[in-house]
Amino acid sequence: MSKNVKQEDSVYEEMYVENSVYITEVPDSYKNRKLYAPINIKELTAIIPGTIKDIFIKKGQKVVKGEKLIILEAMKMRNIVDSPIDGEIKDILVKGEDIVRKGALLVEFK
Amino acid sequence: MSIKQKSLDLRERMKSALSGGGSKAIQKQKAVGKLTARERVVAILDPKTFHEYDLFVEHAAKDFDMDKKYLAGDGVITGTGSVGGHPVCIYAQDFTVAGGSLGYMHAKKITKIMDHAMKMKVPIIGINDSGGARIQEGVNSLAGYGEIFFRNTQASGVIPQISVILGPCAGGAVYSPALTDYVFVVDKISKMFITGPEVIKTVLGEEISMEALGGAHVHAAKTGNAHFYAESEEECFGQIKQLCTYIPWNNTKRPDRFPKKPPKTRIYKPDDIMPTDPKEPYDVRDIVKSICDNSEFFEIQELFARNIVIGFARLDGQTIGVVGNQPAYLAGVLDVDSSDKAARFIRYCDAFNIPLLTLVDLPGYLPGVDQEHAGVIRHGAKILYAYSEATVPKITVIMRKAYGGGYIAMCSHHLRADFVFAWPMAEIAVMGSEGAANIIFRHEINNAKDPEKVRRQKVEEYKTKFANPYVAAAYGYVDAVIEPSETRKMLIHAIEISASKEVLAPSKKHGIPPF
Repeated sequence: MSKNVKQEDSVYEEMYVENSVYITEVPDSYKNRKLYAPINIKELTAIIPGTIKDIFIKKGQKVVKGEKLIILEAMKMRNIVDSPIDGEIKDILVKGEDIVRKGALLVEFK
Repeated sequence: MSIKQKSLDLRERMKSALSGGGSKAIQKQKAVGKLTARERVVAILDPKTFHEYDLFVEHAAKDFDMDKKYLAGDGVITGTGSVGGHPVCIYAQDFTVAGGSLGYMHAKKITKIMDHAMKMKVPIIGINDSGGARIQEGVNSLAGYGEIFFRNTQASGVIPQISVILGPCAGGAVYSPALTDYVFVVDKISKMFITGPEVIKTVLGEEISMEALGGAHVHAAKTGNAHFYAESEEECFGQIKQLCTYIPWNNTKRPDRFPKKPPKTRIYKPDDIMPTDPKEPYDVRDIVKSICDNSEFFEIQELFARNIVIGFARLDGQTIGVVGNQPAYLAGVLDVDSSDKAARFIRYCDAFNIPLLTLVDLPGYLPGVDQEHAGVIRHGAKILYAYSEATVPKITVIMRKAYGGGYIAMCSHHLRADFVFAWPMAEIAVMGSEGAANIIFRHEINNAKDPEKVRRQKVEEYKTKFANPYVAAAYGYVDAVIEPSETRKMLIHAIEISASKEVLAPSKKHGIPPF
């Protein structure tokens, strides 16, 4: 979207706002901003950072929506991670006592 | 005992209380480049004006052998003095005494001096240097914080509240500064966070240094929690004193008037600063300097959301608050952070009787999913709210671009600007010429043999007809189209005329701004 334009001693770049190009300083925080990715329903991620305390499922197991899959302890609470869909567990990417970050992939569905 | 003996006894007691945490602890404080609490207070105040109170306050905690411990002044120094000849209340946490930890009596000393500041309607300056709550005092420490937060909120908009972070300020303690008007931080000394690196590491496995998590630069550039960043305590104290020259002593007063000085127009010429092509950048601060007294602009939050510039300057000796779009950074767009930054400053100026000057040159709002999902609607609305609500004199200069929602938001007549001036290069339009022509002439462009040629033609047509200040001026949305060199004269007159401005607002307890 932008290319370098040398202007006097500072480096300005091109930036698009509403169909027009402006010459301006474009900070890294803007250039490296997280681009939108649609949510993949087949991937279950951690909504909060914490520790995996219990796993109630096995690979290949069929589960129904709302079924208890994992206990994720965070903020002094034992959070129950439910299945968001009816489906079959393709892979479990965590094990007991794993510390996971927010957004970490926990379970993949087939 | 004679009076002399009694006096000697008093001096002995004072000596012990004034020694703080003792020479070892003071040495430790000095070793990390920090001044002691009392040195800081003296450095901020006018010479020989500090008067200390509650020197003999002691903690009353009993648990965990606390009854056997003596903590000088319970770890905080409170008093009164003056800055620039005006009275102020001040407190400074003493890290050499039990790590400046906040217990019940420590908090009592702070709330007592805050109450005093409110009663006397003078500013309160708080110097934070504390390890946090005094755990031994349990829930009483929490009560102490709560009492401080309540008073910060009550005092907000009544007396100026200045927070100086000169050490750690962690956990609940951070919320007192966050509730005050201005937060000062110093590189390598200030540390602010809710959850420290240790806890983050244990609970989340994320490793980060204190400096990277909540150091001075992080809060000055990234979070926007801090308003002034300095490399040393000395520089920081200079900034505090300078700020105090621009603000009034309470919300019923006006800032001090200074002798007027012309701007240094040989260095800052508006005609040379601004490129006429609306796509080319320039530094809006140079425009401010070309207009204001002695070309002095005291910028606030210089490193945060740089696409909008805020700060104080003087016109004819009188303080004004300046809000200006910065075309040199992110094209000067409005976004989540810049809206937040400007809106809070507008409300500050309104609360403290400081006229507002708005300098407009923006292409609109920052496009992108991240901005939409970060709540640019909610945050952007803050600017509309703040300008609409403000009843201080509001003067707007539209310098170049004023497109769409950005035009409305930047203190247009519709939000009750008192005067809107436009420079001849101003483009006040529903959107930029390219965008507008693409929409209005879509069919003609698409059906043409040479669409690109027709598109360019139509853009030019639109530009000639609408990209100017005269369409808005024809409706009275612009009061006067002026040459850049006339700006200072027009502004000084506009502020003079607005001196007794009165606005009848609808009766209400308070509004519900989009926090």
